[in-house]
Amino acid sequence: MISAVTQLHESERLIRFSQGLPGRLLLWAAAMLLLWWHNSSVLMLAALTLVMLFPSRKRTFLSLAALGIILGFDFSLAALGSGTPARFNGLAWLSNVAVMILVLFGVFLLALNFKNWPALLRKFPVLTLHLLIWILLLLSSFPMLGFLIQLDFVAWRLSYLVLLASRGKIEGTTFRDHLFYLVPVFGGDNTPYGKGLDFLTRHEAADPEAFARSQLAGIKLLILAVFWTYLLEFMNAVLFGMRDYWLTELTLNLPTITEMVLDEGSRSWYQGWAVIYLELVRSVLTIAIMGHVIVGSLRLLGFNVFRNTYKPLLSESVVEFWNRYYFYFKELLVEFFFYPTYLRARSVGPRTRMLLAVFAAAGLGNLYFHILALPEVALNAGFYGFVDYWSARAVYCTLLAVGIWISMLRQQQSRQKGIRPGGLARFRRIAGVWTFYALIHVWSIRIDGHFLLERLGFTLSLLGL
Amino acid sequence: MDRPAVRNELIDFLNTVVRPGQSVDDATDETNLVDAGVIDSLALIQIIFWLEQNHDLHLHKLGIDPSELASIGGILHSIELAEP
Repeated sequence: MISAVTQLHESERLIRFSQGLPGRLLLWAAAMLLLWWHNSSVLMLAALTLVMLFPSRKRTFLSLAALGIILGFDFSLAALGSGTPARFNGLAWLSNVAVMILVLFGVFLLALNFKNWPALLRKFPVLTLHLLIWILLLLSSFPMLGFLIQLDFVAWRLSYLVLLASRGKIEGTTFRDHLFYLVPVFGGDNTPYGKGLDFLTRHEAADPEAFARSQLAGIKLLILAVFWTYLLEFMNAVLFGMRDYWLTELTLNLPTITEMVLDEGSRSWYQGWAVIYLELVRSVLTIAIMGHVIVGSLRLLGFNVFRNTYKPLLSESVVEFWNRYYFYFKELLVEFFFYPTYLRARSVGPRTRMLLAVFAAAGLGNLYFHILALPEVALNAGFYGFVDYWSARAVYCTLLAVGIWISMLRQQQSRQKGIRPGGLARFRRIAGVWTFYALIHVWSIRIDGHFLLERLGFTLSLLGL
Repeated sequence: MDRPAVRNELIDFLNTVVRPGQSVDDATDETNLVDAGVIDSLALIQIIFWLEQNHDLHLHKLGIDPSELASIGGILHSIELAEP
């Protein structure tokens, strides 16, 4: 019974039913209800309706929705360049719409002409793109160009576009084929869920049966996201006593990590351990809810891609957790940092080679991703302000990279030996993974003022020091 | 290249790096093993290492992208490219 519910997208009967008119109507109604519950945009609801009515015109509708997002974007930031207060400015709006479309189309044209790039730039296509992005970010301080500061949102999506070009797979594609994932109506943050055109096309439903299967899988994820939302709210209310939630009278009123880091007096080692584990669970739930809604939307549109979060709390190794916690972010780091480093570093020993590649991805790549996500810090904070702002994140990235490297080496060894732990050993492994991520999470949370020494003090207090 | 023999050798190797409970025995040459959830990114790195050690393959020089190694056919094609 439970398996029938959890595997509803695999039920052949349901898949057959979902291809008929009543089934499609029911699917549409369920999708609308769930997307509405998850606060999806009106554009997403409209795009899905049109895609379900005319599946063969999917990319056209999704590209039109992308244009709709650009046209309807809140350009209050556009005023930044002119130094005026944030309010609607018709000229700034027009200028920013034009700039955004020009940048996206310009990069597409550049990618289309990849073969004509100078040899040196062709050798480092993504690096070239990012240099261009930083130049454009610098221009954001000019009047009417303020919107460029938000280019970080499309930076990694454009990176997948350029990567596709460098692999010789862009020929025959049009701007329409790329616009729908560059400005995704299915939602997202700076991480491209569903990666780029190549990955999305490989997972695109090719017939009505695959489309129905994909949509059912999407519905399942959106339902799961509803459950996780309630669980998160329950945790926030009962454990942390956060306001505006029901059950607030029954709360344990536990402090958050931020409160414990900032208030030495509130620390007790047992409460500290409880809080860091609970914060890890909260963080997993938050990421899972966001990812399920985005991937669920993608699946409803017929792109049956992998989940972003898949049972990370059952991971038996640090590297497995990394793979399961935020799949598309990890894929980005592997694709743009790990492989290029690993393939180039042939002259060093296998362990050192792995170490270099892991540091390039989980360490430097991870840090760079976050720096690019807040370009105003790099552009305005000055050298010391910049170092101060990112120092805690740098510690987190270093610890993460060391953990992943050791975990990869251990996993390689256990694979070679064919070790498959069970029972208590498995439980110990899972507990170890929880402890590692719970401890380093202290360094990844954002606290205004950054408080490097306080974070260290809190971490040491957990160990009774 | 003796393709059937190399294929068998490759299958034996791949079965040592698949995810727990998975196997490549039933995979066709075209099956994308990463997309099918049979192998993960870590296994792809082990495949690269295996190709370098056993077939003297230099992916970077040959311009082969790691994503092309996600299928048995793709790996065999890469080995063929490296043949003198």
